Amino acid sequence: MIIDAHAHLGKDANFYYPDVSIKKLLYIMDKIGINKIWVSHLACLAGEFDYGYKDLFKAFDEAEERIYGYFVYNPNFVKESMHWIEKNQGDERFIGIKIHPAFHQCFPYAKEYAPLWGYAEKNCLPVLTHSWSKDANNPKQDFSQPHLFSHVLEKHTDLKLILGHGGGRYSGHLQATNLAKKYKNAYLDLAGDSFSFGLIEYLVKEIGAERILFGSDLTWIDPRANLGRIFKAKIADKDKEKILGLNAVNL
Amino acid sequence: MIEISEFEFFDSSLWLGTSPKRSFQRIHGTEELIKEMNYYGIKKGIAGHFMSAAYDPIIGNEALRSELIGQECLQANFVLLPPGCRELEKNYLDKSLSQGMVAARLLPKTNRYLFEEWIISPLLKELEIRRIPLFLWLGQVGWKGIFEVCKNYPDLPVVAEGVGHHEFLEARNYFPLMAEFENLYLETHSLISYLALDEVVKRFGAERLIFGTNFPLNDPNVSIMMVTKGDFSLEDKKKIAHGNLEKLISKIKR
Repeated sequence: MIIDAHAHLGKDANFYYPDVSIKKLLYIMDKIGINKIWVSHLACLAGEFDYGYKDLFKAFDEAEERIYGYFVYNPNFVKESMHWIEKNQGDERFIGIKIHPAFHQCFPYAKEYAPLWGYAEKNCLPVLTHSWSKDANNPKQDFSQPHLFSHVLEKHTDLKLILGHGGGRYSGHLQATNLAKKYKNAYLDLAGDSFSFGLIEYLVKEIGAERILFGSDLTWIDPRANLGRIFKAKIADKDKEKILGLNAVNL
Repeated sequence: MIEISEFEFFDSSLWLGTSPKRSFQRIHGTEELIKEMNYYGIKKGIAGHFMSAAYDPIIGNEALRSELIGQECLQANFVLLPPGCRELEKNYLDKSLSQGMVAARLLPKTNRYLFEEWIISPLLKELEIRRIPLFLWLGQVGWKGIFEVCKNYPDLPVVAEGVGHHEFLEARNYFPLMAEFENLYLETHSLISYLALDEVVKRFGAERLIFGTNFPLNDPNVSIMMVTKGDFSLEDKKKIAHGNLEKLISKIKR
């Protein structure tokens, strides 16, 4: 069982996307053996909730039981975010809530995020957050540094928080690892374009395989890239199975 | 199911020496590099030396040459310098070719010179005459630099490498360049945006792609699976895996 726990639907204005159709997505998933995919819609992240959720529901219908959704919580649109979450709470096709402090330029400790943490914890909804290292080329990443989430993990011990991209780059990976060592409710995913040699082996050694999740970051990044490095990682086969899908099932 | 060995991967983007960057796992020496290549199914490769990029090109190139003596599965990519300061001896290119160099890199940002005709032209003319594949990091020259070189040196094979900051997500820049210049090739280790590799093959043919991993900085199987599970024919996969690079090297005029 392979579950991609960090992916998207749709596009953004930055790049050219050859084909973001559900038909193509299912074709690629079949080609490389991905059973299920957990997505947030890029339009929702951009604040276009009506468009994004409409497209997401369409995707649910087209790809029955293969595509699952993250709600999007945008701290700049708290009311609208909670409207969609509360309206669809209980719909089993939604598996969690996605946040992106860098894109939304809001620190995780800001009051705008306060309504989210308790709600997610109470309703057993995992929160997937973008997390990244400091980046001179992209100062907005400062909003998403892993260590900024320590207060959330400390206070909301039943909340399961997935640190997307495992912290982004080297220094972020170290921060995320330290966080996961300290807080058992912290998870890391491997999505994105940080392909450091030895990273997976390092993470498994430091925090164990049980809280590491396969993610692709599709429709930005091709799932074949991240899947490849897990298949050949120098870790036990049982740990690969956990990372590729079992941990997501348990979550 | 095709065995990985059947692809005969020929990696254009390997590194020897000590990376100045922090990393989770380092490779010490040629023997260890080859051992790892075998684990991942990479049959042969072209290596650069970190010392050429981080300390001094000439000393780094010499260290690389020395490391590769007797290693049949590895060839060299030397970092070169423009002739303004006469740092390279007069017959440096021909001597380097005789010592196993099969490709060159320019790092104008690192080595602090302008990537402009009045600085680089004499060197690029020499490379063009010999058809030596020139590897250029996008973080060093940008797509505009690639455009200028491809335009001014049509017989020079130019290989754009995605070492920089997400330039390889910018298909809006490189698709028109690929359409315009037949001497432009893309090295694959950063071609990881969703469906990008499939799309390049579809639009421009597999012949324009050169397999590379950026190992040991990057995990090699990222690049490998993009090819082995690519949505194109086995024949095209083999061209990307090894055929195209072998062809470029065979055309070098010694």
